[in-house]
Amino acid sequence: MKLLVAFLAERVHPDVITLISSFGSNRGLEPFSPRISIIAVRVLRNAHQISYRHDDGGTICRQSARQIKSINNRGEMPVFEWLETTALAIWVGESLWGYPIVLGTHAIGLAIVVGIFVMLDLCMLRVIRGVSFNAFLSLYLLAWIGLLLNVISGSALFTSQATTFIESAPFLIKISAVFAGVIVGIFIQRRLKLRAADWDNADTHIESSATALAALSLVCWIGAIFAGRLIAYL
Amino acid sequence: MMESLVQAIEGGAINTWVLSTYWLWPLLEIIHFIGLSLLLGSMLIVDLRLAGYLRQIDIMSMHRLLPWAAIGFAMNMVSGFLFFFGDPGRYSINIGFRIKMVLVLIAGLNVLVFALKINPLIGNWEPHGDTPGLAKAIAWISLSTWTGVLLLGRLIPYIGTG
Repeated sequence: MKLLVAFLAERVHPDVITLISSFGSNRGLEPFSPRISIIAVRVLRNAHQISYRHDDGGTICRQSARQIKSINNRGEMPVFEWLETTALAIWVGESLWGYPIVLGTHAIGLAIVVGIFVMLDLCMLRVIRGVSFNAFLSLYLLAWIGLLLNVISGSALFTSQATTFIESAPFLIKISAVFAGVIVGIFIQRRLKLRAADWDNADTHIESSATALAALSLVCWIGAIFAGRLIAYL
Repeated sequence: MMESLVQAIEGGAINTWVLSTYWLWPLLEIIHFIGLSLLLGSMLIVDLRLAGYLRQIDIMSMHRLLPWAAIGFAMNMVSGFLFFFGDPGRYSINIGFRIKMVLVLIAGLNVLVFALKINPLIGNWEPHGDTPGLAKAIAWISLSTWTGVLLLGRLIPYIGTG
């Protein structure tokens, strides 16, 4: 029975499990007693259909099946479905200017964040030489403002199609790449605070741990653009 | 004029290639986005210095960043041409696209003014000092036109599609 509950918990809306457990007590049985066996649980993700049979008479309980179906029709991911019904999501998705404003903001934030980080990475990799690392410490403030713009605009975009995005592989890869890029960016910022003055001296060796961070940062941001662009195609 | 241009493109070799290569459009978009990051990232730093900020940067070292603006611009010009050749009918009548091209032209003229009026004098400036008024004006025109190009480009599919 525990296995069955675990099986259900993985696949079925929590309300369905509550209903099944209460189903037993209605008939004077202990909730989740072994006497209530679920003969078949078919979770058809798109059709949201579940059929099951009560052990005692072997009858299919149609009414309860309908109840379960109506609960399941609310979806397996109620949070994301709820997000799509919020005022923000509707403003983004349906108003005339909501989507363009948010998408435009997202593009500006992208240019600021990726633009600054890529330039810094190229400087740390010594592909670009002679540009003050100290200046990048000031530019970090701007980069973080750009990131904030994109967290806000990105969240707004997410709400408008939450259930689609959360199941989109490119979206999940993009978010992971951005997250990794930000973490790497924080590490680079800390390193820059210690070493910027040294690195600004011409031809000072930049330690390989720092150049590795720069290379990783480059991979993260280019990867985020790659995956981000593919969201619309896959 | 625009109509005859569209007619000349449609059905041509490039038009057919762009439309029939199914992975090409997303690849072009990726190139276009990486290009815009290079262009706007380098221009942001150059323009902020030219506007008198970020004085830690030796003004002469801006020349190290400018090639990256050129690389980004070249990536976007090539991918942009292929976008246009892939769907000339929709781009040519799109008001967002038209204003974007005008802004690119203004940005280009701005670069020309920079190259003729400012660049020859930079060597005489204080490397970490303030910049003259004309340089500041050029910097702000550059920042605002490229931002406008970015915004209009992003919104081409959503505004003024006729």
